[in-house]
Amino acid sequence: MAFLRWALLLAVAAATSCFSPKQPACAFSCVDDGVCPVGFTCQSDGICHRDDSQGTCTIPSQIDAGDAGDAGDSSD
Amino acid sequence: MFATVVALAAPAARAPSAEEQRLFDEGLRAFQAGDARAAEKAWKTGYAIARDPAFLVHIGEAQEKAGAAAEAADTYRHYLRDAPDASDRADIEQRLARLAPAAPPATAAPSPAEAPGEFGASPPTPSLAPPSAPAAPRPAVPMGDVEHPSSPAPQEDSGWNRYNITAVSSAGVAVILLGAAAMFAAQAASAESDVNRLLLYRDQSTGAPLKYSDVAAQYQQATADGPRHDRNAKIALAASAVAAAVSATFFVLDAKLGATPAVAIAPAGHGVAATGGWQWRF
Repeated sequence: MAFLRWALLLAVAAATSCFSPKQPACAFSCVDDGVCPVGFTCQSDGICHRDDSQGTCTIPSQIDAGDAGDAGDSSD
Repeated sequence: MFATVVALAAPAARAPSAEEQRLFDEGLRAFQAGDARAAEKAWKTGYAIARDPAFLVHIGEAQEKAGAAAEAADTYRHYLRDAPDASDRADIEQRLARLAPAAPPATAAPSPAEAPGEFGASPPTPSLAPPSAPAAPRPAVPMGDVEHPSSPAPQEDSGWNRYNITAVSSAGVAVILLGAAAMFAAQAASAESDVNRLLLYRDQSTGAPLKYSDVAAQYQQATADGPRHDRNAKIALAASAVAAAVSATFFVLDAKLGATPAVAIAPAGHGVAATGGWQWRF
């Protein structure tokens, strides 16, 4: 019975698992080179936007974050 | 009557001595009277005197009637060793197969369709002939060997047949495929985890995501591997299910039909062959 339970567990795990990564609207930073993965487009905010997504991304790009930090430092 | 039977049944055999006849008659009377142990004793004495293998058949019948199946089987085996060319060898082998189906004689496969013998209350009609009936060599074997044969134990029937071999093999294949499916599923899950980690990474201090050009190779590898592992997992799972169904089917067939065809397996060419025309090629 223990073997059957394990076999059933393995079968269920194998049957239910599938490759389905998350599809965030905003993913990578694309500042400087404008390179994004397939299905994403680099937009003016320096972020890769998913092609079928709407709206803007609120996350900062790396450069923006660095610039913001630098700006903050310089303002001081 | 006794002499007539002797003359008809074994014209070429030697004539039994008066003492052999007396012991045979004594055993027969006891057997017909229902005292199987007394018959066994008389016939054992006759065997001790004459070393005639025919006595062994009667002794076996008496033991069988007395309910001592194991002793009867031993005695029949002793008879087959003493009289390997006996004309009633097939009959004795059938009795052996019925008495000890797990340990049939090594020289002949038991017929599974044989009808059980009848040794209930009737005298030993198939071998009513007295000693010397089977024309066979009579090696000098001590009487004690009847109960304790000195030869090696007969080869045991493995119990395997085409159905349970296929069922167990299919079950093994199903388990292996299930393990492969689980492995591929784990790899797909790992690839998915990698992709999610890259997509959702945010720098703790700035909140900025990863720059795609820095992780492009890793991302592309994970997105290529994930679907492939996922597909392989599903294929292995489906194949495992098919193998499990085959295994279950053959287990059922084994339960219903498996007692009939005992098989032997031997290497054959590039695979393994079993009686009944079954072959597995590798």
